Amino acid sequence: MLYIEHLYKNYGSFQAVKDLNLHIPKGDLFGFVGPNGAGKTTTIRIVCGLLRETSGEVVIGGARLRDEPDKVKSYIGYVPDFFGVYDNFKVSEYMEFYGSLYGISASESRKLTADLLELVNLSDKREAYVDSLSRGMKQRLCVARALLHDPMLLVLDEPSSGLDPGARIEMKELLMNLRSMGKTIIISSHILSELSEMCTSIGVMNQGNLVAVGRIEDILQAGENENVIILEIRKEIERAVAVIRQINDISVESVMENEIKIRFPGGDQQLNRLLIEILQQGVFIHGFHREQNNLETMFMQLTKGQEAES
Amino acid sequence: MKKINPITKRDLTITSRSMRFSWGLFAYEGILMLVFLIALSILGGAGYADSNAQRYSSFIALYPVVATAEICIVALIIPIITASSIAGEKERQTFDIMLTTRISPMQIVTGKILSAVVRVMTYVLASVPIMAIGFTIGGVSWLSLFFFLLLTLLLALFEGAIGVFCSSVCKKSITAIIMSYIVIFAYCMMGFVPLILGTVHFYMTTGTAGSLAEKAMTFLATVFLLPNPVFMFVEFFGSVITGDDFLAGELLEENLPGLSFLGKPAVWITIAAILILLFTFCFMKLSAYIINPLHHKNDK
Repeated sequence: MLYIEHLYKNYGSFQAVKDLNLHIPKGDLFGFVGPNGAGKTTTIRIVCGLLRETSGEVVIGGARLRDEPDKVKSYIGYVPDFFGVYDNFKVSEYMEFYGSLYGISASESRKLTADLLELVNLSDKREAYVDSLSRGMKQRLCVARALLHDPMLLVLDEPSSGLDPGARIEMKELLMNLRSMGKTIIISSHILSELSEMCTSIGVMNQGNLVAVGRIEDILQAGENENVIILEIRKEIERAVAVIRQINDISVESVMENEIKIRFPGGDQQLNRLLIEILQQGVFIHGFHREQNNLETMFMQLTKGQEAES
Repeated sequence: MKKINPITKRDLTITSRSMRFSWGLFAYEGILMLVFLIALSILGGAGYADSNAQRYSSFIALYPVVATAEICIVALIIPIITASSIAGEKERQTFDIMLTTRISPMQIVTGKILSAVVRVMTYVLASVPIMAIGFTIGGVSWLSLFFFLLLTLLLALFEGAIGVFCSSVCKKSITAIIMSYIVIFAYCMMGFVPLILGTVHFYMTTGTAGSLAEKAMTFLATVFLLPNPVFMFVEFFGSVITGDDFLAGELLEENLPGLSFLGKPAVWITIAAILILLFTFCFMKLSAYIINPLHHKNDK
């Protein structure tokens, strides 16, 4: 569905996107994650034809963006992070206006509007003015608008930003519903827990680089080479921290009242050796457990490593 | 039947619902009526003419007064509407969505200009009764009124294209409005520069008509004044009131006899209108190029 090859975007001497290679298959719900300024929005804007790449290639549905921008536009539905509205414009008129921008006839547009408003649960707001809708409703309306021309690929840039929890759940359900309908969806978000629940695959961007990409399970599995262990220590925690810091290959992630979070490379054997070494130094360990890898911890690992390098 | 540009349709739907448009129309007609009444009282004043016949014939001056007032208002309104068109979409953050649809940048530009022109021409058409009184009393033909409306439409299109051009360059509406006023003012004044320089040169060289320098200045003045909408209206009013040209003939007769055909007001106005239309199209193409994000490799 979407192929990005050797994509670069420079703003003067600043490289916003560096050699990005990405393939998103049809029917995938792809999550784009990364800290602010990582290059997610730049990439999304290039894919949607809102920015020109410095070099590289974007192919959507078999059409090259550079050669056939109009064809590519008909394949994409774009939902930006901010929903701008026109005053004195009704929901039905809003939909019909965008329908006309896609060359859809008024009668066809009216029919599609009814169906899409039902899909996004806004049928009762058909005659309401757009600026009177809540932010969550506006965002769902924007999704309905993006679906008017039945695009193959739906691109959502931070669709949940600024939404209350209820509206977020509704948005998530809507996206899951669209996914079950076979739509290919790219969603960029900072809400990692939400992405891990919905997405089939993710790409982690940091400082213009795609640092990890693939199925969520695969990425989490790959990250398990590095272990995060939480040690429960009830006495002399400062001394315990000092002792642990002296051991090679271990980094102390955080220190709580009775807990020390440490990171070390290796498997169970190394863990046994490590625990023995700590005990031999006279530190009494009341208990320990391995921190389960999730998207948040993976994200922190991947982006932290890059920041340290830079 | 060809479809109405969706941008024009949307803009007009929104405009027709706002009270601002109605108040604008009211203010426009009010100002024009005030100008008309003041001009009528001055021209019909006791000390102005010796006889009633003279007083009546002086009413023909009502026409350029009211028409000039109308043109000035149009010239002031159009940049406000058009300069905030694309910049306004950028401010509302609706422009990106528009660019991801199948509508072409040229259609966006055309739609924006047309909606502004339709709005302003609604004002102008609503003022026809006031203009008609001026024409009836002033004794100017209905055909002249028709041509006046046609030239006003041309002015609206030209200024609209400059306004949209500035709007596509600027991110803020207010910057775009200021920029479009500057561009329009500079464009209109630029046309008179060679004429002024030529006149100064003529008096400084004690008026040696037909000299090479004067010929060159006349040629430049002709070239610069031809696509100038202000001079086009000057020639138009001159021809309507006196039945002859205002300045063009005199400008060309002695120095550039080869171009003397331009001295006829109808010829001058026709060529001027064509050139202004051409410039309008150039500004539109330029705006469409600027707003197309795929043309800018280094833009943010």
